[in-house]
Amino acid sequence: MGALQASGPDPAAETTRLLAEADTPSTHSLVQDPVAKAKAAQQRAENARGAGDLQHATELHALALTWAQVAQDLVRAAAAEKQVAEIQKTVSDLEQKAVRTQALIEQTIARKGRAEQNLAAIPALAPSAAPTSKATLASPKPAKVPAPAGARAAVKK
Amino acid sequence: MNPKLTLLVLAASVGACAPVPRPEIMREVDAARASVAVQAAAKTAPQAYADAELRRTRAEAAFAEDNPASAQILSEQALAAYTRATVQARLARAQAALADEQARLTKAAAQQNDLDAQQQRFSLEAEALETRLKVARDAEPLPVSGPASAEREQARLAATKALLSQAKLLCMAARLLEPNREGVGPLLGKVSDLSGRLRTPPAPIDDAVAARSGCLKELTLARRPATQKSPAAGVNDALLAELSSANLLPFRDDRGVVVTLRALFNDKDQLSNDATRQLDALGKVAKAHAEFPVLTVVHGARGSASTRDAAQAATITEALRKAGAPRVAADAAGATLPVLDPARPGASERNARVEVVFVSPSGS
Repeated sequence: MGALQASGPDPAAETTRLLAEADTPSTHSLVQDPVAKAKAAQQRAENARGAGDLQHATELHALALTWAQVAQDLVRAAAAEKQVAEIQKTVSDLEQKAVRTQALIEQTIARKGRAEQNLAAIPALAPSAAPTSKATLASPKPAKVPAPAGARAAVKK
Repeated sequence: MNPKLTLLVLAASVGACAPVPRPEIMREVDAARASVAVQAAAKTAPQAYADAELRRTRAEAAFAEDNPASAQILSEQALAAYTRATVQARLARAQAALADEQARLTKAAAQQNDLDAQQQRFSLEAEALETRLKVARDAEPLPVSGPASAEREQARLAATKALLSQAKLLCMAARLLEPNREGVGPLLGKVSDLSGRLRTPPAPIDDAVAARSGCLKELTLARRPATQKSPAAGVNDALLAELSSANLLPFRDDRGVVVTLRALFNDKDQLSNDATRQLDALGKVAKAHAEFPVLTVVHGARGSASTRDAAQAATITEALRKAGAPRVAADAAGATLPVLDPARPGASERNARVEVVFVSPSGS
């Protein structure tokens, strides 16, 4: 803001700096319109200065600076939007992975439940069939899956 | 007065009082200001909008002061400033969305970490239970094997030799992890005793199964403190990954992580240069993973373990120690544990091998 007052650095130099930053090969198509307007205003300012019209030269330099700031803001907005899209993709991937991991956890809990039941079925081990205390088990709780036929084979590696 | 001159003077005075038309650019500024995008930007980017408004006001003032050139330029400034307000509104929306998405990402990553930890814990618990189940089933009283045909008795003999070899290696692994483990000595004595009874049929296959179960149980019990101390350590996976990345084609079995080497010795029973390099690399791995003791097993192509096999085992052990392996034991298993049926063509080259076993210190 405050281009009218042209406070701070020389508006012409500031415009040149902003244009150099904003107008790169990767952003050219995005900013070509405001960049062209900024450069045209710069040229008009130089012409006015050459004709001794300093007041209008100053106003035109301020105009050039405003268009250069538009170009800079466009680049920043596009960069932020790109970053948003990238993060959205990462979040989406993570959410899908979470669903898969949740399914895997349920399978593992069922596998554990089968092993516990099979251990409990061995008379010599029945009193201490489950070595994992309930305190160590976080939710979700182990699924109570009945041992299917042929469970002996299933638990063998 | 001349009527013509009077008309001319009247026309000139009327022309001097006529209002100057508003420049086109000022109408563009008005249209831009009234647009939906700029009105939305007035709320989202109020500073930029206020700047544009200031410029428009100054343009109007310049026009009112009959300064059309300044009115033109200030109107252009106002138009650029309204454009900037809409771009800044877009930027503000993107930054707000970015903050939201970053918060979602942090939450999703934390949730995934939590799920991964849960999965690892349940997986380890399931594996521990399955191992217990396996040990328990192996220890269950087996039906006594009755007399069999000569052909079947021959197969039992081969199976008994394999079971006794496995039992010995499992007990040796247990002893490497816990040198003073009380149960290991009697079991090794039993294995030795059973090996001595192989010459006279019937082969003691039931006793061999029991000996193997006993040794596996001792190994599991020797690992238990480390497993309970750090159930999610994943040390075996880490070592497996490291050896895989070195193209050593490792695999896992009850003993630990195993690397198979072949043709280590030349005709003079000396280690070849390649073999020395390989053993040096493995010794350094053993040094870096000191919690994994190393068990070296020389397998022959045929027959029982020979003194030559034992000498080779000693040479390999020495090479591993020289490279920094802190705890190494060796055994010669003869042809009791072939990977291919010895009758098949080319089986000798596949069966004669050296296993370097990194004995897993824990079940995780």
